Amino acid sequence: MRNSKLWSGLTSVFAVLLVVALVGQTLAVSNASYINSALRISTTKVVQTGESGDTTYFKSAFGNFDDPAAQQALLDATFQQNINEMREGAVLLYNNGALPLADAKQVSVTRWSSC
Amino acid sequence: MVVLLNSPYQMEVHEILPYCDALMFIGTPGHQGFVGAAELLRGTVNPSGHLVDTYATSSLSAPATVNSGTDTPLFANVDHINSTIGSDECAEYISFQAENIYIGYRYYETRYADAVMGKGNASDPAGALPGASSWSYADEVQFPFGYGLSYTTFAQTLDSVDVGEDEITVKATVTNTGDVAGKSVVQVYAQTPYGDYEIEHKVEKSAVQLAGFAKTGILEPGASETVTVTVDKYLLASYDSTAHNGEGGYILSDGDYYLAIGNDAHDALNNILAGQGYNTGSGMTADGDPAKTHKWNQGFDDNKYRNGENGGIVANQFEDCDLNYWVPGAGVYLSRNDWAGTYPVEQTTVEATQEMLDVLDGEWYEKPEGAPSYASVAASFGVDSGLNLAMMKDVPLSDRETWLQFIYQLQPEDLPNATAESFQCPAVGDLSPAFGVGDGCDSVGGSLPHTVEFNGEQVNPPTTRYCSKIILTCTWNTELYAERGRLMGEDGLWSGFMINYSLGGDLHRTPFGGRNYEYMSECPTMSYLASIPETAAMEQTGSHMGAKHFCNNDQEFYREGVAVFFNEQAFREGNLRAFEGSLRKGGAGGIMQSFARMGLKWSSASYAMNTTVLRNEWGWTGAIDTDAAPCFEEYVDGGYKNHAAEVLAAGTQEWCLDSVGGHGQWVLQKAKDTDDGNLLERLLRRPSVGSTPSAVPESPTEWTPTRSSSTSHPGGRPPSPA
Repeated sequence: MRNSKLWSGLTSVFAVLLVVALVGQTLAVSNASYINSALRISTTKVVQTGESGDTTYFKSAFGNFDDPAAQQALLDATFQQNINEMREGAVLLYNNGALPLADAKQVSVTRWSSC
Repeated sequence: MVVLLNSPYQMEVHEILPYCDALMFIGTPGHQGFVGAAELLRGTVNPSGHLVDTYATSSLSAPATVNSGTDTPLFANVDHINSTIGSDECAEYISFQAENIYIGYRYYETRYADAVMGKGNASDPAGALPGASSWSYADEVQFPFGYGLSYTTFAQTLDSVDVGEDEITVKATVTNTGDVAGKSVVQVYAQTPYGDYEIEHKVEKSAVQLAGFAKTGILEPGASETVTVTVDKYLLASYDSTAHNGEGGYILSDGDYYLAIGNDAHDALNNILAGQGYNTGSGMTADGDPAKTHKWNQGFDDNKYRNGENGGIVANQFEDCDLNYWVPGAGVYLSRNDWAGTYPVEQTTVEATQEMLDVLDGEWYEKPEGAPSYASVAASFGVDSGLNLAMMKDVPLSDRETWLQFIYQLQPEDLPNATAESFQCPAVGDLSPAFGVGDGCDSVGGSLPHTVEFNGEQVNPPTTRYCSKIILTCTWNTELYAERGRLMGEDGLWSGFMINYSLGGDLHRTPFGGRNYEYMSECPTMSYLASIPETAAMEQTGSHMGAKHFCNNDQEFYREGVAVFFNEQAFREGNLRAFEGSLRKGGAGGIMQSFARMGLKWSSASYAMNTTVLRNEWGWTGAIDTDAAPCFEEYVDGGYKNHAAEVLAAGTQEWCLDSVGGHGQWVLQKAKDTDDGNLLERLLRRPSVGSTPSAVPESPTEWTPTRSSSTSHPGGRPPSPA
């Protein structure tokens, strides 16, 4: 009796595991691109053969991205670009002289959901 | 109260304006844009942005809104369609572009000009604001295209206009006449003739159209700068579907042409009207300045833009995208010849005929007569030529022999992987490695491959999110356009992306387009001009630019399968033109297509668009990808995105979100089952652009509906209505 309970329990567990494995494998295979991308798994690697020389034809202007300094330099440049876009892209549509707020000491900020 | 409009969409602001002290459009700022907004509020930076969309009093007062967005009508016999071809063909909605070429300012300004000139019944209340007894520009438009204020004032003078054979060179001088330093934009607009020929041949003209622009550097008070704007005459040509005895083509109209500078499109138009002798007494909103206008005469020319890049002739390709082709008289296009009689006051729909159903069902591929056998094409595969990818780097695509030798090292079974794209493209045999794909117009998407500490955890930060494409475009600064492309290319390099779908080319057909924030403008010329530097700069980084969504993705409501009908002039001067800059001039490496139907065919199944225009007319060699057509496990044939043979035959090369190459595998199996070597050649991408002149297509091009029971229309193409 005890044994049969154990076996039935084990059978159930393994049956569930089998289903999980089957479904999981199908899902994993069919979503290989996502998973590889998310886990940053590369399925290929560059192999240097003969005298082909440096095959990195397009180099970043910021240097090697393994270098934290290069990473920071790119981030700084992108943030600066983001600011420059707003500086020149925001459109002043109406102004009765309220702007610029050069002398304003206090500003109340309100928005759609801020009450 | 100072109001910041943090929305990329045009807002109707007339109700809040009386309560505002200032109003500024900033939508949407991205990661760091609010810093710039604060500087503008503070006055440490002087505003210099200008609108790239018209802010109408009522967004519903544009003709394009009648048949689009959530107002898109159903086919009149939608139940019959669904029961005949199945609801999985997504053929329920029909969006007839009754507005013709008149999107955004091209509608409001042209109607205004005609009202001033007393032409075309422009003042008729048809299409005017509810309750209006006549159409009035001042009531209709809040802020015109190109509008934008500064904390200083500028004076602009038109110094010279040199009209050459292909280009027009405009010189203008800007002087800061105020007290604060700032930048100014010289906006150059054109008017081309709308005369008897155009009326007779139904060639529509916008009374004013953007032609070029330049932005000054920072001008100190009292300082001046002379800028040069070069205008490509191509942008002043009109597509005339009746040209060359009905073959169609671009024409330069005969008559008087005008160029003008102005603070915005309306101001420039007023300057042109002033040059033509009109004033406030004629009903103008303000007197224009004729000194800011240049006039010249041009003779009729229908040959200048007749030849495509690749031996192809630019001629009618989209006759079957006109609703009237299928149901004569079913659709009326807005014409400035009669605003009152052609303004769409009612929605346009039809009952889809059996002939239309034969195309709507998406299955028309038949093995062409004379197609090679599968074995004869497959025999070339599996031959080691010793070529590897690095050796192919400098081999031009026109060297087809070498490229084929490279590819023939594969087995046919390797080819489906070359049709797979799901944010990563898998390796193709041993020849081509897997690579990542970026996606997003204000960020290449995904997260960066390094970690930072955030709330005590190590996380991968997202790639930088820049301002919306609209804010970027509103800078009118080509250096900022280029820098955006360069940095997003660098973002792509860092993220391991070989291509980034980051250039949104669709038009802001209405203010309601759900993806407008990713697209540049309501003006196809603006989109054309703005996309060139951005695309070219990204291409230089080595991480390609992909333009999307090609074409007509101008609404999110039922965008999957909506049948969009239009006339060829509106399409070529509108949606196609908006992409042409990025692809033809900027050299974008790829496109993502749209979910919409071009007429009755899914954009991905349009041979005219993907092969005739892209390859033969524009000579474009990039990769063609569908919009999301998921295939995660097994491809199921049928359903509007799953007619793989037709899509491949149209020139499409990859299926987005098809991680396993399911569409390609199905095509390969079909090629084997039906002994169709043509399909295998298509998988090989052989009929792509190259040394073969398009006049002699390498493979049969246009496939006929398989159920073409209507024998009176050989080839499944009924005759054009008179």
